[in-house]
Amino acid sequence: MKYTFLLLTWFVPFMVLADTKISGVVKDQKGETLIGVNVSLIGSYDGATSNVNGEYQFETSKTDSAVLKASYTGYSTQEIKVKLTGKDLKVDFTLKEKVTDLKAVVITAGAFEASDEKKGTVLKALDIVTTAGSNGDSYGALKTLPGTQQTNDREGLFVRGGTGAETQTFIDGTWVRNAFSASIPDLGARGRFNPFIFKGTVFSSGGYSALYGQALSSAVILESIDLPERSSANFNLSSVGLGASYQQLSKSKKSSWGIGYNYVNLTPYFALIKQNIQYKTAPTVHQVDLNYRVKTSKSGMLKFYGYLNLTNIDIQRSNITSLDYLDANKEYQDRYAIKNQNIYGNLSYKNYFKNDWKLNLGACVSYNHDDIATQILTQQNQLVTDSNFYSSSDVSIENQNNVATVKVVLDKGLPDLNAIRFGAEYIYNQDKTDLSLPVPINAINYQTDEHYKALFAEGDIYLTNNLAGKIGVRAEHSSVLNAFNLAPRASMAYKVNKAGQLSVAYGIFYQKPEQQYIFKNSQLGYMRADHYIVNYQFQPKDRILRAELYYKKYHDLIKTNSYGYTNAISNLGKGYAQGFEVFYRDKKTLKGIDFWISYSFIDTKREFLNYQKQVQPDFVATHTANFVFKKFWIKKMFGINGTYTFATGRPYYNPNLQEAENFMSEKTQPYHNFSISANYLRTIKKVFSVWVLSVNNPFGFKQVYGYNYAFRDLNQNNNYFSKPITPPAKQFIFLGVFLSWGIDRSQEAIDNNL
Amino acid sequence: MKKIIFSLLLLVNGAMVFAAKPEYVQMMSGVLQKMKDAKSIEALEACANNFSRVAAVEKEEWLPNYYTAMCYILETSMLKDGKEIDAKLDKADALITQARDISNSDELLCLESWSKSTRIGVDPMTRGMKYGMESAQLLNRATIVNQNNPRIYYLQAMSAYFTPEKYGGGKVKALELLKKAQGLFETFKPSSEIMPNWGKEQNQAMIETVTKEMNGSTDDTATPNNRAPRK
Repeated sequence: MKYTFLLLTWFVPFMVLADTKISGVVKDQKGETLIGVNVSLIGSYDGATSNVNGEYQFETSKTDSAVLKASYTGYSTQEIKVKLTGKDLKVDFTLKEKVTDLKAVVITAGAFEASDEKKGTVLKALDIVTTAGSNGDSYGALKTLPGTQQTNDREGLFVRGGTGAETQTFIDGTWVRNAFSASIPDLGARGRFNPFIFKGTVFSSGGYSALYGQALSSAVILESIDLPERSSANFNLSSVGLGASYQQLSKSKKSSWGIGYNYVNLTPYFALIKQNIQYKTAPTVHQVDLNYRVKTSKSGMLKFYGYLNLTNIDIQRSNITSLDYLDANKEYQDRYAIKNQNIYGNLSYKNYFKNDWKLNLGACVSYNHDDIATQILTQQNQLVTDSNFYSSSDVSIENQNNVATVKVVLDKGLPDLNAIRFGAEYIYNQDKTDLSLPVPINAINYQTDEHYKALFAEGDIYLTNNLAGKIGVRAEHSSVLNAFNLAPRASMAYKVNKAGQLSVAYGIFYQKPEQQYIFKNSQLGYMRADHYIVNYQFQPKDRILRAELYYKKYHDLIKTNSYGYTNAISNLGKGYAQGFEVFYRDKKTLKGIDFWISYSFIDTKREFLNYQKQVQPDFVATHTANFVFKKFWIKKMFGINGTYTFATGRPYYNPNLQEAENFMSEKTQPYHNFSISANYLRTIKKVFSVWVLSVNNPFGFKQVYGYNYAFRDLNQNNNYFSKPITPPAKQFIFLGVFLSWGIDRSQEAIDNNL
Repeated sequence: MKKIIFSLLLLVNGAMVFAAKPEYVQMMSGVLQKMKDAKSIEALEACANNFSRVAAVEKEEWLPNYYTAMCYILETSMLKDGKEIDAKLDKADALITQARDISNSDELLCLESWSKSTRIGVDPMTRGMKYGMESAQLLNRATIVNQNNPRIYYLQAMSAYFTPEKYGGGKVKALELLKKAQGLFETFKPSSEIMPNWGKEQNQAMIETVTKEMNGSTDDTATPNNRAPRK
């Protein structure tokens, strides 16, 4: 008996050695079965994958206690302790869904993003340059998106009832003071920077993040490219100029530097294609670009971008007031000449640290100098002596601004995509204006030195993959206004179904008045706009539909009176803008054709500057629509892009209608524009070439942006003479070739390593 | 000196091959067989899971991660949604990076190159340049490690096949590379039964396809709808 017991105990371990069968079902928290879950016994090869019914089953020869683990992409891993005795085991898992980039809702209210890296963006980086009519200008491409006005006669991007000054540009996080190149009144201005140096663009038409400030309406946030893929030498020749650049990637592929020079001179083009204004000096530009980028560590990146631009333009066009004499001998010329020098340098550093900390550091300096001469000349090119014109016959203006900024942003990533972000910004802004007028012969000098400081914090809150929010706040102080402000921002997104989502955004936005008003009245305060946005986005594969409703309330806008008396400048202006916008992009329906349609409706009124009452401003068209298409034949390496734009007429002020109710009551004719561009890519020997031909307005639609009126009724016939504001020529034609010698150093690396 | 280091390396390498546990080899070859027969995403996913269970135990072996990544790359040929394809390739790339910490095998460079070129198919217009170049550079690096690996030339041929002649690709070039790979496949002997040894049949099938197309049509390039080489 004793022996049998001993024998039994002896045999027990052997009996346990029999394989244990483990089976079970894997479900998510909602009780849905999960297919493809990897169930494994830690420390062994044993395990199985769950089938269509969420079931798994396997056998193991392991004994004793062990840990069973279920892992599945997008879900938290679950571990369960088990005791293996040879008896069948049933172990069920319930996995918790993780909030992941792939599935999580994205807050889209107010923001259009162009990026190749982020998933599910509306535009690709390349879309910015391949949109017909943009002529290689980032802002030109943004004008095909909803919310923007076709104000090609003015500088800046006009968004949702805001002026061009209400849109600000940021490069790698830091504010850019002079984002547009030198311009002539009524002829518009191009963006300064080459769109090819950016890999990402966010165009916010409202409700943007607390990381940015001092823009009442809109923020254009640009992200510069990292290391190039290889070294290259480039050359371009076109109907407007020529340029060359060289980019070198180090052997270790850890750093790169580059230099480029571009020369623009429109003299030959204007000689060939007649313009309706007389150019004494056609736009002439010298531009130098420098860049240096280095990977400081596995995760650190330091980038420098430097830019120098010298622009010279000198034009003459008929003085409208003089035309009111109705006397051909007394037709005078307005001369407007501008010499602009701009230097810009941007240094940015980004690094990731332990525990999901991320640092973004940006510093930037810029210098801008405008030397402007406006004169009124007789037909013999002499300064007028006519007493009606003498006071403004010879004005010279020297504008200069010096800017230095530093911005630091710290980002702490938390589990489930949650994050907190905070930082500080400092901007030194010096503005100088020297004015010299003929009567009384005197000079007026203005100068301000502004120290702007801001603190900001923002939190990303992901409750589930379907519900996320962002809450932020920004505190600012401006030394020149001697005033603080506190601007809260909040947005939220909810995923309705797999492809559709709803977002809302709210925020208060402050902006300093423009420099020319601060010069004259130091008692001014911030202007303010409150944004409310609701957005719906539906994005099945290869298609996207966005619809957005917004309301914007303006407070404390700048008000002057018609004579610009110093004491009359105040913050008494106000206004509102509301509207809805639709954007639809489709790469699927028409085979091989990618197109988008955008439509904007806006109802806006404002009382600001010298407006006599609250009216729709002269830069806003009620309805705007764009149709953009792109077609590329891969086999032929040939592509055609087209853009058609329509906008209803813009209001303008007609001084012949004196009554107050008639202020801004007239409207221009509707605006039509069509642009087409063709590009052909070809490799000749080792040279990669891109040939581009683009024509703006080939059908010659007459485009009128508004009317300029005589300042005085000189012949006293109770009629102020007027002239329409039009582009300087009906068409604009660009023909160019871009050549690139890619120097692939991988062969050299191979040779050096052997 | 160099020679001594070299032979030492060989010795270590050899020792490692001998050190491979029999149950490891047995498990790997079993799953490899299943992978060969896998015809659906579910079957490939099961193999990937199986390989990753082995990888979790055998932390010094690079092959389990290599094959897990390969399963993910193969799965993308059955997926349509670009987001899902990218997610799979993200997982594959992470595993290849892990494996490269253990080994500098030319096979890992080949696999990474394949992964990069697969990404092009999601959006050829914007990705062609970047990933095409990265993919080609990885194959160049693989030739430094082992210029006799036939998969290098098979993958080069596949990318030439999808690249227009104007860009240095085309069918003529593809066929040339496929023939080169064919020759090397004849003599290629993996150092063990579980080492990468795929591509011979696909290479042969491609030779037939390209030859037929060159005789039949004037089309000089293929459409880049699905750039993943077939398994």
